[in-house]
Amino acid sequence: MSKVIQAILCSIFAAICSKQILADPLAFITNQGDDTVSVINLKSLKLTTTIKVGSKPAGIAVSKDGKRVYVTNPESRDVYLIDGKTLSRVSRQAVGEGPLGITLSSDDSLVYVADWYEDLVYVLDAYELTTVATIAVGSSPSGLAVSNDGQRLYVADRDDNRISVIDTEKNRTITRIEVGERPFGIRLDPQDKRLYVANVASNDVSVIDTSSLIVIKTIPVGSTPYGIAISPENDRVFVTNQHDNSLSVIDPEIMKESHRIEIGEYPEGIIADPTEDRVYIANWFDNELVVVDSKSLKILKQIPTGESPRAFGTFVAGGS
Amino acid sequence: MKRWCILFSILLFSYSVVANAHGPTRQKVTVKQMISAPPETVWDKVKDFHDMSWHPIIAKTEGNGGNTKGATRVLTLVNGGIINEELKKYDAGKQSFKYKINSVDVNILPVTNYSSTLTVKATGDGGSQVIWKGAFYRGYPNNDPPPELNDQAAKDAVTGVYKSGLENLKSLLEKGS
Repeated sequence: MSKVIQAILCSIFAAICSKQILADPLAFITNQGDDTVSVINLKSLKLTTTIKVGSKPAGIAVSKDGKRVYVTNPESRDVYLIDGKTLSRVSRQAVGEGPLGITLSSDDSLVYVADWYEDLVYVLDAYELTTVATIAVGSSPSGLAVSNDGQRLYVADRDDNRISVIDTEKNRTITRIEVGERPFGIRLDPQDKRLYVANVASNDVSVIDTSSLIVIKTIPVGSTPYGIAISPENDRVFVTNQHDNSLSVIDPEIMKESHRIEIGEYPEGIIADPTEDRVYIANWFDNELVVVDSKSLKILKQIPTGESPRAFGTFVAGGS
Repeated sequence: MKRWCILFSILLFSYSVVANAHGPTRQKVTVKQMISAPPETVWDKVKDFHDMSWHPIIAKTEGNGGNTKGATRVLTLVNGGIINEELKKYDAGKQSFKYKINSVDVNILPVTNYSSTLTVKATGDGGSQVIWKGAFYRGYPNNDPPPELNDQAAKDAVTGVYKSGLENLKSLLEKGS
Protein backbone atom coordinates (compact mmCIF):
# COMPACT_ATOMS: atom_id res chain seq x y z
CA MET A 1 0.00 0.00 0.00
CA SER A 2 2.66 2.48 1.04
CA LYS A 3 4.62 1.47 -2.05
CA VAL A 4 1.68 2.46 -4.25
CA ILE A 5 1.38 5.82 -2.53
CA GLN A 6 5.10 6.30 -2.86
CA ALA A 7 4.91 5.52 -6.56
CA ILE A 8 2.04 7.97 -7.04
CA LEU A 9 3.85 10.69 -5.10
CA CYS A 10 6.98 10.03 -7.08
CA SER A 11 5.23 10.35 -10.41
CA ILE A 12 3.46 13.55 -9.33
CA PHE A 13 6.76 14.94 -8.12
CA ALA A 14 8.45 13.95 -11.37
CA ALA A 15 5.67 15.60 -13.38
CA ILE A 16 6.00 18.83 -11.40
CA CYS A 17 9.75 18.74 -11.72
CA SER A 18 9.80 18.16 -15.46
CA LYS A 19 7.24 20.90 -15.98
CA GLN A 20 9.36 23.19 -13.87
CA ILE A 21 12.47 22.40 -15.85
CA LEU A 22 10.69 22.96 -19.13
CA ALA A 23 9.45 26.32 -17.96
CA ASP A 24 12.89 27.54 -16.92
CA PRO A 25 14.56 30.10 -19.20
CA LEU A 26 17.37 28.70 -21.33
CA ALA A 27 20.47 30.00 -23.10
CA PHE A 28 21.46 28.49 -26.45
CA ILE A 29 25.19 28.69 -27.12
CA THR A 30 26.57 27.89 -30.58
CA ASN A 31 29.90 26.06 -30.29
CA GLN A 32 31.82 26.60 -33.50
CA GLY A 33 34.59 24.15 -32.62
CA ASP A 34 32.46 21.02 -32.14
CA ASP A 35 29.33 21.71 -34.20
CA THR A 36 26.96 21.76 -31.24
CA VAL A 37 24.65 24.00 -29.24
CA SER A 38 24.99 23.97 -25.44
CA VAL A 39 21.63 24.47 -23.75
CA ILE A 40 22.06 26.09 -20.35
CA ASN A 41 19.30 26.36 -17.75
CA LEU A 42 19.36 29.95 -16.49
CA LYS A 43 17.64 29.10 -13.23
CA SER A 44 19.99 26.36 -12.08
CA LEU A 45 22.88 27.80 -14.16
CA LYS A 46 23.74 24.30 -15.32
CA LEU A 47 24.09 22.60 -18.67
CA THR A 48 20.77 20.98 -19.63
CA THR A 49 21.86 19.24 -22.80
CA THR A 50 24.00 19.50 -25.92
CA ILE A 51 22.43 19.44 -29.38
CA LYS A 52 24.31 18.42 -32.53
CA VAL A 53 23.84 20.98 -35.32
CA GLY A 54 25.42 21.75 -38.73
CA SER A 55 29.00 22.66 -39.49
CA LYS A 56 30.71 25.59 -37.66
CA PRO A 57 27.55 27.03 -36.05
CA ALA A 58 27.75 30.74 -35.25
CA GLY A 59 24.49 32.72 -35.36
CA ILE A 60 21.57 32.16 -33.03
CA ALA A 61 18.04 33.55 -32.62
CA VAL A 62 15.27 32.57 -30.20
CA SER A 63 11.57 33.45 -30.53
CA LYS A 64 10.15 35.58 -27.72
CA ASP A 65 8.12 32.66 -26.34
CA GLY A 66 11.26 30.51 -26.34
CA LYS A 67 9.57 27.83 -28.42
CA ARG A 68 11.71 28.17 -31.53
CA VAL A 69 15.48 28.37 -31.80
CA TYR A 70 17.34 29.10 -35.03
CA VAL A 71 21.00 28.33 -35.69
CA THR A 72 23.12 29.37 -38.67
CA ASN A 73 25.84 26.98 -39.81
CA PRO A 74 28.16 28.91 -42.16
CA GLU A 75 30.18 25.90 -43.28
CA SER A 76 27.30 23.51 -44.02
CA ARG A 77 25.44 26.57 -45.34
CA ASP A 78 22.17 25.92 -43.61
CA VAL A 79 19.81 27.03 -40.88
CA TYR A 80 18.55 24.66 -38.19
CA LEU A 81 15.23 25.08 -36.46
CA ILE A 82 15.24 23.57 -32.97
CA ASP A 83 12.20 23.07 -30.75
CA GLY A 84 12.88 25.16 -27.65
CA LYS A 85 10.89 22.78 -25.45
CA THR A 86 11.84 19.29 -26.64
CA LEU A 87 15.33 20.58 -27.54
CA SER A 88 15.41 18.50 -30.69
CA ARG A 89 15.79 19.50 -34.32
CA VAL A 90 12.60 20.26 -36.21
CA SER A 91 14.05 21.01 -39.64
CA ARG A 92 17.07 22.03 -41.63
CA GLN A 93 17.17 24.36 -44.60
CA ALA A 94 20.01 25.18 -46.95
CA VAL A 95 20.47 28.97 -47.07
CA GLY A 96 22.95 30.82 -49.27
CA GLU A 97 26.73 30.54 -49.29
CA GLY A 98 27.63 31.55 -45.75
CA PRO A 99 24.72 32.20 -43.38
CA LEU A 100 25.95 34.01 -40.27
CA GLY A 101 23.91 36.75 -38.57
CA ILE A 102 20.31 35.83 -37.80
CA THR A 103 17.32 37.51 -36.17
CA LEU A 104 13.54 37.22 -36.05
CA SER A 105 10.98 39.78 -37.17
CA SER A 106 9.22 41.58 -34.31
CA ASP A 107 6.19 39.25 -34.57
CA ASP A 108 8.46 36.19 -34.82
CA SER A 109 6.92 35.17 -38.15
CA LEU A 110 10.01 35.78 -40.31
CA VAL A 111 13.69 35.00 -39.96
CA TYR A 112 16.34 37.29 -41.41
CA VAL A 113 19.64 35.62 -42.28
CA ALA A 114 22.73 37.57 -43.36
CA ASP A 115 24.82 35.78 -45.97
CA TRP A 116 28.45 36.72 -45.44
CA TYR A 117 29.52 35.70 -48.94
CA GLU A 118 26.59 36.69 -51.12
CA ASP A 119 26.04 40.13 -49.54
CA LEU A 120 22.38 39.31 -49.14
CA VAL A 121 19.86 39.07 -46.37
CA TYR A 122 17.52 36.11 -46.80
CA VAL A 123 13.99 36.55 -45.50
CA LEU A 124 12.62 33.15 -44.46
CA ASP A 125 9.23 32.00 -43.29
CA ALA A 126 9.92 31.27 -39.63
CA TYR A 127 8.03 27.95 -39.64
CA GLU A 128 8.69 26.51 -43.10
CA LEU A 129 12.13 28.11 -43.52
CA THR A 130 11.26 28.80 -47.15
CA THR A 131 12.79 31.91 -48.70
CA VAL A 132 10.19 34.66 -48.97
CA ALA A 133 12.54 37.35 -50.28
CA THR A 134 16.17 38.37 -50.54
CA ILE A 135 17.54 41.85 -49.86
CA ALA A 136 20.79 43.09 -51.40
CA VAL A 137 22.99 44.71 -48.75
CA GLY A 138 26.63 45.78 -48.43
CA SER A 139 29.77 43.69 -48.19
CA SER A 140 30.01 40.85 -45.63
CA PRO A 141 26.78 41.48 -43.70
CA SER A 142 27.00 40.23 -40.11
CA GLY A 143 24.94 41.62 -37.19
CA LEU A 144 21.20 42.20 -37.59
CA ALA A 145 18.57 44.04 -35.54
CA VAL A 146 14.83 44.59 -36.04
CA SER A 147 12.85 47.47 -34.53
CA ASN A 148 10.02 46.75 -32.08
CA ASP A 149 7.42 47.89 -34.61
CA GLY A 150 8.96 45.52 -37.13
CA GLN A 151 9.30 48.19 -39.82
CA ARG A 152 13.04 48.44 -39.91
CA LEU A 153 15.90 46.01 -40.21
CA TYR A 154 19.45 47.17 -39.51
CA VAL A 155 22.36 45.26 -41.06
CA ALA A 156 26.06 45.66 -40.21
CA ASP A 157 27.89 45.58 -43.56
CA ARG A 158 31.21 44.63 -42.05
CA ASP A 159 33.53 45.17 -45.00
CA ASP A 160 31.82 48.41 -46.10
CA ASN A 161 32.04 50.04 -42.66
CA ARG A 162 28.34 50.84 -42.92
CA ILE A 163 24.94 50.02 -41.51
CA SER A 164 22.20 49.31 -44.05
CA VAL A 165 18.76 50.45 -42.93
CA ILE A 166 16.03 48.35 -44.55
CA ASP A 167 12.33 49.06 -44.95
CA THR A 168 10.90 45.63 -44.08
CA GLU A 169 7.64 46.20 -45.93
CA LYS A 170 9.35 46.78 -49.28
CA ASN A 171 12.49 44.82 -48.33
CA ARG A 172 14.50 47.72 -49.70
CA THR A 173 17.38 49.81 -48.36
CA ILE A 174 16.33 53.24 -47.08
CA THR A 175 19.83 54.48 -46.40
CA ARG A 176 23.32 53.37 -45.47
CA ILE A 177 25.12 54.91 -42.53
CA GLU A 178 28.88 55.25 -42.28
CA VAL A 179 30.16 53.89 -38.93
CA GLY A 180 33.56 52.80 -37.53
CA GLU A 181 35.78 50.14 -39.05
CA ARG A 182 34.42 46.60 -39.48
CA PRO A 183 31.06 46.84 -37.70
CA PHE A 184 29.97 43.41 -36.44
CA GLY A 185 27.56 43.04 -33.50
CA ILE A 186 24.69 45.54 -33.29
CA ARG A 187 21.77 46.06 -30.94
CA LEU A 188 18.83 48.43 -30.53
CA ASP A 189 18.01 49.81 -27.11
CA PRO A 190 14.65 48.66 -25.64
CA GLN A 191 12.89 51.84 -26.81
CA ASP A 192 14.38 51.64 -30.32
CA LYS A 193 15.84 55.12 -29.86
CA ARG A 194 19.42 54.17 -30.54
CA LEU A 195 21.35 51.52 -32.39
CA TYR A 196 24.73 50.55 -30.88
CA VAL A 197 27.35 49.20 -33.27
CA ALA A 198 30.53 47.34 -32.23
CA ASN A 199 33.37 48.24 -34.62
CA VAL A 200 35.91 45.41 -34.48
CA ALA A 201 38.79 47.20 -36.20
CA SER A 202 38.47 50.74 -34.80
CA ASN A 203 37.95 49.59 -31.19
CA ASP A 204 34.86 51.70 -30.65
CA VAL A 205 31.09 51.73 -30.59
CA SER A 206 29.05 53.91 -32.96
CA VAL A 207 25.79 55.21 -31.53
CA ILE A 208 23.12 55.87 -34.15
CA ASP A 209 20.05 57.96 -33.43
CA THR A 210 17.25 55.98 -35.08
CA SER A 211 15.04 58.96 -35.88
CA SER A 212 17.68 61.08 -37.65
CA LEU A 213 19.71 58.01 -38.73
CA ILE A 214 23.00 59.71 -37.97
CA VAL A 215 25.91 58.71 -35.75
CA ILE A 216 25.58 60.89 -32.65
CA LYS A 217 28.61 59.52 -30.84
CA THR A 218 31.60 57.22 -31.22
CA ILE A 219 32.65 55.69 -27.91
CA PRO A 220 36.13 54.17 -27.48
CA VAL A 221 36.07 50.71 -25.84
CA GLY A 222 38.55 47.82 -25.48
CA SER A 223 40.36 46.02 -28.29
CA THR A 224 38.25 44.34 -31.02
CA PRO A 225 34.70 44.78 -29.72
CA TYR A 226 32.37 42.04 -30.93
CA GLY A 227 28.91 42.00 -29.36
CA ILE A 228 26.54 44.33 -27.57
CA ALA A 229 23.92 43.80 -24.84
CA ILE A 230 21.66 46.41 -23.27
CA SER A 231 19.96 46.15 -19.87
CA PRO A 232 16.14 46.04 -20.08
CA GLU A 233 16.08 49.30 -18.06
CA ASN A 234 18.36 50.84 -20.71
CA ASP A 235 20.75 52.10 -18.04
CA ARG A 236 23.77 50.11 -19.14
CA VAL A 237 25.23 49.02 -22.45
CA PHE A 238 27.68 46.10 -22.38
CA VAL A 239 30.35 45.39 -24.99
CA THR A 240 32.57 42.31 -25.29
CA ASN A 241 36.18 43.15 -26.22
CA GLN A 242 37.67 40.02 -27.78
CA HIS A 243 41.37 40.86 -27.70
CA ASP A 244 41.16 42.77 -24.43
CA ASN A 245 39.51 39.86 -22.57
CA SER A 246 37.19 42.43 -21.07
CA LEU A 247 33.66 43.71 -20.81
CA SER A 248 33.12 47.43 -21.39
CA VAL A 249 30.17 49.02 -19.63
CA ILE A 250 28.77 52.17 -21.23
CA ASP A 251 26.55 54.67 -19.47
CA PRO A 252 24.01 55.59 -22.19
CA GLU A 253 23.18 58.85 -20.42
CA ILE A 254 26.63 60.33 -20.96
CA MET A 255 27.62 57.93 -23.77
CA LYS A 256 30.94 57.04 -22.16
CA GLU A 257 32.59 53.88 -20.90
CA SER A 258 31.96 53.82 -17.15
CA HIS A 259 33.59 50.49 -16.24
CA ARG A 260 35.78 47.86 -17.74
CA ILE A 261 36.06 44.44 -16.13
CA GLU A 262 38.18 41.37 -16.84
CA ILE A 263 35.90 38.68 -18.14
CA GLY A 264 37.93 35.79 -19.57
CA GLU A 265 39.53 35.13 -22.91
CA TYR A 266 37.95 36.15 -26.18
CA PRO A 267 34.52 37.19 -24.98
CA GLU A 268 32.09 37.17 -27.91
CA GLY A 269 28.31 36.62 -27.85
CA ILE A 270 26.55 38.61 -25.13
CA ILE A 271 22.97 39.16 -23.97
CA ALA A 272 21.14 40.77 -21.05
CA ASP A 273 18.53 38.72 -19.19
CA PRO A 274 15.00 40.10 -19.70
CA THR A 275 14.07 39.82 -16.00
CA GLU A 276 17.14 39.12 -13.85
CA ASP A 277 19.95 41.65 -13.35
CA ARG A 278 22.37 39.59 -15.37
CA VAL A 279 24.37 39.50 -18.56
CA TYR A 280 25.62 36.30 -20.15
CA ILE A 281 28.86 36.18 -22.12
CA ALA A 282 30.32 33.37 -24.23
CA ASN A 283 34.12 33.22 -23.85
CA TRP A 284 35.43 31.73 -27.06
CA PHE A 285 38.89 30.76 -25.82
CA ASP A 286 37.84 29.54 -22.37
CA ASN A 287 34.83 27.47 -23.52
CA GLU A 288 32.48 28.92 -20.96
CA LEU A 289 29.39 31.03 -20.44
CA VAL A 290 30.08 33.72 -17.88
CA VAL A 291 27.20 35.01 -15.79
CA VAL A 292 27.72 38.61 -14.62
CA ASP A 293 25.60 40.59 -12.18
CA SER A 294 24.67 43.60 -14.28
CA LYS A 295 24.43 45.88 -11.22
CA SER A 296 27.49 44.91 -9.15
CA LEU A 297 29.45 43.75 -12.24
CA LYS A 298 30.64 40.71 -10.28
CA ILE A 299 31.11 37.38 -12.02
CA LEU A 300 28.48 35.05 -10.55
CA LYS A 301 29.32 31.87 -12.38
CA GLN A 302 31.35 30.31 -15.20
CA ILE A 303 29.48 27.48 -16.89
CA PRO A 304 31.39 25.12 -19.22
CA THR A 305 30.16 25.01 -22.84
CA GLY A 306 31.26 23.09 -25.91
CA GLU A 307 34.37 23.97 -27.92
CA SER A 308 34.83 27.60 -29.05
CA PRO A 309 31.43 29.15 -28.22
CA ARG A 310 30.39 32.19 -30.30
CA ALA A 311 26.68 32.66 -29.52
CA PHE A 312 26.32 35.45 -32.05
CA GLY A 313 22.81 36.84 -31.65
CA THR A 314 19.91 36.85 -29.23
CA PHE A 315 20.60 33.54 -27.52
CA VAL A 316 18.07 33.95 -24.67
CA ALA A 317 14.33 34.41 -25.31
CA GLY A 318 13.39 38.06 -24.79
CA GLY A 319 17.01 39.03 -24.10
CA SER A 320 18.39 42.41 -25.09
CA MET B 1 4.81 16.11 -52.72
CA LYS B 2 6.18 14.62 -49.56
CA ARG B 3 8.32 12.20 -51.53
CA TRP B 4 9.77 15.09 -53.53
CA CYS B 5 10.55 16.90 -50.30
CA ILE B 6 12.43 13.91 -48.94
CA LEU B 7 14.30 13.43 -52.20
CA PHE B 8 15.16 17.10 -52.32
CA SER B 9 16.44 17.01 -48.74
CA ILE B 10 18.63 14.03 -49.53
CA LEU B 11 20.02 15.84 -52.57
CA LEU B 12 20.70 18.93 -50.51
CA PHE B 13 22.36 16.85 -47.85
CA SER B 14 24.70 15.13 -50.30
CA TYR B 15 25.51 18.51 -51.85
CA SER B 16 26.52 19.96 -48.49
CA VAL B 17 28.69 16.94 -47.73
CA VAL B 18 30.57 17.31 -51.01
CA ALA B 19 31.00 21.09 -50.82
CA ASN B 20 32.38 21.42 -47.31
CA ALA B 21 35.01 23.70 -45.77
CA HIS B 22 33.42 27.01 -46.56
CA GLY B 23 35.59 29.84 -45.33
CA PRO B 24 38.00 29.79 -42.42
CA THR B 25 37.14 29.83 -38.72
CA ARG B 26 39.39 30.99 -35.92
CA GLN B 27 41.60 28.32 -34.38
CA LYS B 28 43.26 28.13 -30.98
CA VAL B 29 46.26 26.45 -29.40
CA THR B 30 47.33 26.23 -25.74
CA VAL B 31 50.65 24.76 -24.63
CA LYS B 32 51.57 24.51 -20.95
CA GLN B 33 55.01 23.78 -19.54
CA MET B 34 55.97 23.03 -15.95
CA ILE B 35 59.37 24.40 -14.95
CA SER B 36 61.24 23.65 -11.71
CA ALA B 37 62.20 27.25 -11.04
CA PRO B 38 60.50 30.06 -9.08
CA PRO B 39 57.93 32.03 -11.11
CA GLU B 40 59.93 35.27 -10.61
CA THR B 41 62.96 33.66 -12.23
CA VAL B 42 60.92 32.34 -15.14
CA TRP B 43 59.15 35.68 -15.64
CA ASP B 44 62.49 37.44 -15.54
CA LYS B 45 63.64 35.36 -18.50
CA VAL B 46 60.60 36.02 -20.72
CA LYS B 47 59.27 39.40 -19.58
CA ASP B 48 61.26 41.62 -21.92
CA PHE B 49 59.28 42.01 -25.15
CA HIS B 50 62.50 42.89 -26.94
CA ASP B 51 64.41 39.81 -25.90
CA MET B 52 63.19 36.50 -27.22
CA SER B 53 66.61 34.88 -27.10
CA TRP B 54 65.15 32.10 -24.95
CA HIS B 55 63.46 30.68 -28.03
CA PRO B 56 65.72 28.47 -30.18
CA ILE B 57 64.14 29.51 -33.50
CA ILE B 58 64.72 33.23 -32.87
CA ALA B 59 68.08 34.54 -34.04
CA LYS B 60 67.51 38.23 -33.32
CA THR B 61 64.94 40.51 -31.66
CA GLU B 62 64.83 44.22 -32.50
CA GLY B 63 62.25 46.83 -31.74
CA ASN B 64 61.20 49.79 -29.72
CA GLY B 65 58.60 50.93 -27.24
CA GLY B 66 59.74 48.88 -24.24
CA ASN B 67 57.21 46.79 -22.35
CA THR B 68 54.28 49.08 -22.98
CA LYS B 69 51.22 48.63 -25.13
CA GLY B 70 51.94 49.51 -28.73
CA ALA B 71 55.62 48.49 -28.58
CA THR B 72 56.81 46.70 -31.69
CA ARG B 73 59.44 44.08 -32.38
CA VAL B 74 60.92 42.40 -35.40
CA LEU B 75 61.84 38.77 -34.92
CA THR B 76 64.45 37.32 -37.23
CA LEU B 77 64.29 33.55 -37.29
CA VAL B 78 67.30 31.29 -37.58
CA ASN B 79 66.08 30.34 -41.05
CA GLY B 80 66.05 34.01 -42.07
CA GLY B 81 62.28 34.54 -41.83
CA ILE B 82 60.92 37.78 -40.38
CA ILE B 83 57.93 38.27 -38.06
CA ASN B 84 56.62 41.74 -37.13
CA GLU B 85 54.82 41.87 -33.79
CA GLU B 86 53.09 44.40 -31.56
CA LEU B 87 52.53 44.36 -27.81
CA LYS B 88 48.83 44.60 -27.00
CA LYS B 89 48.71 44.17 -23.25
CA TYR B 90 51.30 43.97 -20.50
CA ASP B 91 50.59 43.06 -16.88
CA ALA B 92 53.74 42.60 -14.78
CA GLY B 93 51.63 41.90 -11.68
CA LYS B 94 49.96 38.97 -13.34
CA GLN B 95 53.19 38.03 -15.13
CA SER B 96 51.43 38.04 -18.46
CA PHE B 97 51.56 39.82 -21.79
CA LYS B 98 49.65 39.68 -25.01
CA TYR B 99 50.88 40.49 -28.50
CA LYS B 100 49.86 40.09 -32.10
CA ILE B 101 51.57 39.49 -35.39
CA ASN B 102 51.32 42.53 -37.64
CA SER B 103 52.86 40.82 -40.62
CA VAL B 104 54.40 37.49 -41.49
CA ASP B 105 54.83 35.54 -44.71
CA VAL B 106 52.51 32.51 -44.60
CA ASN B 107 55.42 30.44 -45.89
CA ILE B 108 57.24 31.27 -42.63
CA LEU B 109 54.27 30.77 -40.30
CA PRO B 110 51.02 29.67 -41.99
CA VAL B 111 48.65 31.90 -40.00
CA THR B 112 46.77 35.17 -40.36
CA ASN B 113 45.20 37.45 -37.75
CA TYR B 114 47.34 35.88 -35.03
CA SER B 115 47.40 36.98 -31.40
CA SER B 116 49.01 35.32 -28.44
CA THR B 117 49.38 35.46 -24.66
CA LEU B 118 52.31 34.29 -22.54
CA THR B 119 51.69 33.87 -18.81
CA VAL B 120 53.86 32.61 -15.95
CA LYS B 121 52.01 31.17 -12.97
CA ALA B 122 53.17 29.84 -9.64
CA THR B 123 52.55 26.20 -8.85
CA GLY B 124 51.97 25.04 -5.28
CA ASP B 125 55.43 23.52 -4.90
CA GLY B 126 57.48 26.66 -5.58
CA GLY B 127 57.82 25.91 -9.27
CA SER B 128 56.20 27.51 -12.29
CA GLN B 129 53.85 26.81 -15.08
CA VAL B 130 54.18 28.75 -18.32
CA ILE B 131 51.03 29.00 -20.42
CA TRP B 132 51.29 30.07 -24.05
CA LYS B 133 48.04 30.59 -25.90
CA GLY B 134 47.39 31.59 -29.48
CA ALA B 135 44.32 32.44 -31.54
CA PHE B 136 44.58 32.76 -35.31
CA TYR B 137 43.15 31.94 -38.70
CA ARG B 138 44.82 29.62 -41.18
CA GLY B 139 47.21 30.98 -43.77
CA TYR B 140 44.80 30.59 -46.70
CA PRO B 141 41.85 32.93 -46.42
CA ASN B 142 39.58 31.35 -49.04
CA ASN B 143 37.95 28.00 -49.58
CA ASP B 144 39.78 24.78 -50.40
CA PRO B 145 43.15 25.64 -48.85
CA PRO B 146 46.23 23.72 -49.99
CA PRO B 147 47.29 21.24 -47.27
CA GLU B 148 50.23 23.41 -46.15
CA LEU B 149 47.88 26.35 -45.47
CA ASN B 150 44.85 24.64 -43.91
CA ASP B 151 43.56 24.75 -40.32
CA GLN B 152 45.58 21.75 -39.24
CA ALA B 153 48.79 23.14 -40.74
CA ALA B 154 48.27 26.39 -38.84
CA LYS B 155 47.63 24.58 -35.54
CA ASP B 156 50.58 22.25 -36.04
CA ALA B 157 52.93 25.14 -36.82
CA VAL B 158 51.89 27.21 -33.80
CA THR B 159 52.00 24.17 -31.51
CA GLY B 160 55.51 23.43 -32.78
CA VAL B 161 56.70 26.99 -32.08
CA TYR B 162 55.23 26.96 -28.56
CA LYS B 163 56.54 23.51 -27.65
CA SER B 164 60.09 24.07 -28.88
CA GLY B 165 60.20 27.46 -27.16
CA LEU B 166 58.88 26.29 -23.81
CA GLU B 167 61.02 23.14 -23.78
CA ASN B 168 64.09 25.27 -24.41
CA LEU B 169 63.02 27.72 -21.70
CA LYS B 170 62.67 24.82 -19.29
CA SER B 171 66.12 23.45 -20.05
CA LEU B 172 67.70 26.92 -19.83
CA LEU B 173 66.16 27.61 -16.42
CA GLU B 174 66.53 24.18 -14.91
CA LYS B 175 70.21 24.27 -15.87
CA GLY B 176 70.34 27.51 -13.93
CA SER B 177 71.70 29.67 -16.72
